[in-house]
Amino acid sequence: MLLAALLAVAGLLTQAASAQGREASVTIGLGGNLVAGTWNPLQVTVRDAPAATLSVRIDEGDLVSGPRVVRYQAAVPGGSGVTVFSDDVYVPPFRTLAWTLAGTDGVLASGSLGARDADGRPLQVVVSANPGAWRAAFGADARVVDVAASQLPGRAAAYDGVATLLIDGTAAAPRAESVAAAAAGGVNVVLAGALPSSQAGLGALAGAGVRRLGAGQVRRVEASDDAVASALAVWRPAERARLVSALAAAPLVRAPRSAPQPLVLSVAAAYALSTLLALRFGGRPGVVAALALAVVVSVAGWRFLRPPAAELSAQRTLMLGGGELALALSVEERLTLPAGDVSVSEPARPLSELPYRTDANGTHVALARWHGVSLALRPSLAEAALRFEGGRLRNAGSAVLRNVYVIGVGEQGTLAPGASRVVRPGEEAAGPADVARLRALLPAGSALAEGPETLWVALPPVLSDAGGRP
Amino acid sequence: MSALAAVAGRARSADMLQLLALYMATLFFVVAVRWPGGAGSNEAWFALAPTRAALLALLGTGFGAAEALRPARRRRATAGALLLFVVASAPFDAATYAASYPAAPLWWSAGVPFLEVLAYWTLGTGLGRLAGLLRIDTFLAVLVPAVLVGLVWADVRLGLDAFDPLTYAVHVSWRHAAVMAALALVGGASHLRSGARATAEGSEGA
Repeated sequence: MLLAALLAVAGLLTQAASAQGREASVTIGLGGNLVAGTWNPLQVTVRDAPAATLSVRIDEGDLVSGPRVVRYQAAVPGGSGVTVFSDDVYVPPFRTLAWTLAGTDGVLASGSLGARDADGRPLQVVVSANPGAWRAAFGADARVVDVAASQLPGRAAAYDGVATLLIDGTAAAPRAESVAAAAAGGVNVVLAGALPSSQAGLGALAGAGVRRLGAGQVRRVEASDDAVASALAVWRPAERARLVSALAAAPLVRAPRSAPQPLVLSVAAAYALSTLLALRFGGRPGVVAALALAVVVSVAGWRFLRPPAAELSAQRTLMLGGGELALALSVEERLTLPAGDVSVSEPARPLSELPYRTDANGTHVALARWHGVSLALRPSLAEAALRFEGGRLRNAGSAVLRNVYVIGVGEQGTLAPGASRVVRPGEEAAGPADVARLRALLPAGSALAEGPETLWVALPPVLSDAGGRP
Repeated sequence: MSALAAVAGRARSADMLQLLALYMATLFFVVAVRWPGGAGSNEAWFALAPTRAALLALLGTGFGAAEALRPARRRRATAGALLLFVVASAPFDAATYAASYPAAPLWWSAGVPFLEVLAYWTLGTGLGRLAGLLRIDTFLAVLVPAVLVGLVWADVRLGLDAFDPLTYAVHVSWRHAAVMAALALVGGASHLRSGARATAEGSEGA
């Protein structure tokens, strides 16, 4: 039954076109399982086909506000043999989603989804030769999907909609970097039972039994429903979406202030009066003086009143680290004074309900004059600068980390590059409002530190049999 | 008498000076109302530019109609004084444009009012001559705004993109610029011709 349903969904999501020996397929979601409201992996596979353009049109509007269209476009290389194009695309909760893969001589593949396919429940991914055996370990409402190891991408953003990755060693082994990317992206990776020797690399990711890796963890458990259910129950995932919202809660850029109204009106009145007097009493010299005065006041007004730039921007990044890896959650705010498109050079999504488009040049949002938008950039992985190592807090980066603070323990001062220190009770301070908002969403024992335009977080080592809290 | 002296003489006349004062007072009022008191968006130009364009169109049409049957020298001086109106109000435009940072280019905001005032002055001249021919010049005070409103209405209704001074004060339209330039050229050529005819008649009379 489950398998039939999965096949039906996969059939909806994937359309293969075969003409004159060409084949093309488009898959959105992990193994064709799309999660609305998250970043999803997108894969295009073409065989013996020319270069094509993939266009995805997502209508996230509603009956009240009308259509609100998100567009995604990518160039898919072609040629003889099989070509695979992979990317990650943010799929908001939608009314309709349609895609077209078009080459120079026609459409290679196309398809569409309706609102009922916009399932926002996170995926519980099982990599197993017998996935049905683990169904009971997940709750009744869980969205358990069976995915082949080869379908697991090596990009953290692709796992935005995944809650759990269960591997029992009975199926082909996924690549260790895919599993590491999943864990660092915030997934609870559960390795159930004894893994075969060919999958020893995966076991090493879990260390002694459980290990924090980026925003997620890798945990080894016994091969039983109870052990897996227990591993799922104790896991408290990092609330990535709420962290991004908290990051953008306070405005990063502010509109420039206009000159004081009394000053502007005083100058305007003085100018108008001078012009009238010059024309009334000046004759020909008066006309020349009025013209000269108009030029001088225009130039002076321009220089004094013109804001320095048409577009203002600022970026803030939260590095959610565990172990050696960190998940970069970045928010970029753009404010434009003239109406027009604002663009960021990376894939991103607006945090407000605005139509936008993403292509090879980045993400573009059309804004009205004097309007701003906060864009959440696609999550990515980076090396963690702030780490817990052997009960000590260490700065492994190249910049000084200031205002180091451990939630529930207190302030820890400043950490120079390469320096480490034992965490000791310090002064409990509320800190700035934006940092306080983030602290409220992080588990006790998390360390925070401020770097240049970046807020570093070291999530506490996961409680294991051997302990390990700071 | 030089052209500058003629313009200076026309500009200091009571009707011109009073209308210039009223014109600048209106622009001052718009700035006073629309300039932001503190932080926030500055949209003063988006109110000032259409107001300025509408007033210039009204003044151009009105003076063109009222002086259609006056001597060419007088009409030239009036046209020069109207161009002086455009220059005199340029600081209001430049200041609000600078602060509002609109998407419309500066050359549009700075250049098109010169074309518009001459174009509407030409239209007004035609209207005045027609009214004189039909002996309804008594109603020019009503005809001028009525014709302007009619032109704007037709422009919007028929999508002509040609005459509406309000919309194209803040949006670039090549068709509007072309129509305004053509009308200004027609007016200029007509005055040159009438000026040459007057000169010829003067020399014949001598």
